[in-house]
Amino acid sequence: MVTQAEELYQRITGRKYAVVVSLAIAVVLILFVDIAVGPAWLSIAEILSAIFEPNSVDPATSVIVWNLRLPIALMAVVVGASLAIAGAEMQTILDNPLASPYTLGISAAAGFGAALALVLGVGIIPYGEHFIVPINAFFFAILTCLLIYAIARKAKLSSETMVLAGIAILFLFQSATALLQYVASEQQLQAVVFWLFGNLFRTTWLKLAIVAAILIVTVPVLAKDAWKLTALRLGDEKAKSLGINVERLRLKIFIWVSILTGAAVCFVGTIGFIGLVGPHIARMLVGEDQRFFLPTSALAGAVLLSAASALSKLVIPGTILPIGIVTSFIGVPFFISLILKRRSGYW
Amino acid sequence: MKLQIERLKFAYDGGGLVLRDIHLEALPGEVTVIIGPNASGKSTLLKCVAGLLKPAGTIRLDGKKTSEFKKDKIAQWVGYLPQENSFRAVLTVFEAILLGRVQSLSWRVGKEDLASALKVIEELGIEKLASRFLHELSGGQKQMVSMAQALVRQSRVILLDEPLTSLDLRYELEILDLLRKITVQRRITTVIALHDLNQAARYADKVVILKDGDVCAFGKPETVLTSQTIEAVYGVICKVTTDNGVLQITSLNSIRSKSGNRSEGNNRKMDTTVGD
Repeated sequence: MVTQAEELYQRITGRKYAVVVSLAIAVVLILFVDIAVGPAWLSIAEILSAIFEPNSVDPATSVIVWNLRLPIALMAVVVGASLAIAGAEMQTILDNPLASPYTLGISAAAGFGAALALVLGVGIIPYGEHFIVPINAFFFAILTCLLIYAIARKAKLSSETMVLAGIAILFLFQSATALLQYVASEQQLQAVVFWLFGNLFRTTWLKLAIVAAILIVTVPVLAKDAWKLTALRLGDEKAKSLGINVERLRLKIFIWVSILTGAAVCFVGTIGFIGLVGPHIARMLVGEDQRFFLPTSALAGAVLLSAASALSKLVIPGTILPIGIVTSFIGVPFFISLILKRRSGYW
Repeated sequence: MKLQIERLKFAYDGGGLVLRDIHLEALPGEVTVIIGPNASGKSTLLKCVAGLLKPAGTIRLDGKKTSEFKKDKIAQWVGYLPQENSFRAVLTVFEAILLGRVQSLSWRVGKEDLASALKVIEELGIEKLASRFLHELSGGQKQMVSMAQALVRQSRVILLDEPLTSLDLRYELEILDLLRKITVQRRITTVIALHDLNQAARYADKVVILKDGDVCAFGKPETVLTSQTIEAVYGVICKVTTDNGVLQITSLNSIRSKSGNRSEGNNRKMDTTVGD
């Protein structure tokens, strides 16, 4: 009986393991492509030498790899994974396929926080001019998450209410940012628009370390509740009857996902579609067993943002487009094709 | 596991009492069917027993108050199958059944969990469905999976809220036969909320009739399901006969008006489901 059950289980999970491994390999490959492309093209051998034997390459290559491209390429992987995980868990706990940091207004709130700092110079914490923009963005992202949750709690915490509250907040912060843009000087306006596009240029090793650390801390927390989160997709009543404290689980995950989202968007600006599309790709590939859904979403998000990062350097030779523009250009047609081709049952 | 309900009262926020003063007892190895008109409190009663609502009064399992147990302990003993199963999750049947043991599952699924899931799959005869996705299943197959989720964690009490909704006759009979068999074999206490009086008569060891949150009658089908009781509860004139020892309830297409007068129609046999 045990052997038979194990065989059946392995048949179901075997393909999912293969998907996770394949995507992990794809992330590594695209990461190298992202490092390789740019105004000065590098070969894979040069990149490997620069990373593992920095003294064996010329100083210019070493500077390009270590100071410019590697942190940006890694930031694309980490932010892509963070946004996709955030989207996956938001879709899970809100039971809504449209939930993502972007569609819930969290990115818009971060944009407003950044615009507030860039236009009016208003900082939430008067510490370090260098970090005033990301701190503001992070603060407003978290504030919005809490606001959405508070509104939904007042209205009995239904998932539909949370999504509706998020959409309302999205419009509110977009209008507030537009107002700031309206009163901004030409230079300030340029800075705000540039931030709102979303880009990875401002990446430093410190910023990368902060986002990566939050991702590394968050993933085990989410993984610990993987089965409970999977059960949540059977509906609140069923999950409760299985002994799961649904309200507590939802609050806990929402707080962690808020921190993850805040950290991801505060340094790179508004990057849409990754948080929406990444989980949908994962769902089609491995289903919603969170033990596979979570890593697959993260890897799909990382692949998408890394690919967008590489493309942003290739579309117009000699120019690096803001990555937020590229993700939307890739994301929209891709998402529409997913919707058109989707098999029944996947929302 | 013996289920006892004493002085149970419940009201939703800002509303009147949905359950007024319920006294009930359901025994292991027996199927207890709750019937009653819409909004009589059937679903609410099952949710109270499942621990999803907090009523006043006492619910005991083998003599012990459920209010003294943690939620996960109640979940282990009491399997609840809601009226509407949300099977939108992109999961295979095997994964969904494993979720019935969510409290014991770890990242790496243990051999005991896998064996339990397979045993239930074989018991319910749904081996062919194991690798299929939930959204590919029919209504009856989904009910089977829902039952498997309750059985896989060795629930001692199983509560089913209108499990026959939107099922064809074949599945209705298949599921009720299966429930009856499992109830006797595993000595489970099974409580089902039903609308179909004939199915209640055929499969119940005990019948509970609820009306406006009160128990109108409780006992064996032949003592409870009388034409007088049905008329009093549903306001429908019925003929109750016995065919080979099985009660047959036939509505006579005559509905009593609120004033108590009968509006006579043709005395012909019609749908025997009363209440919808």
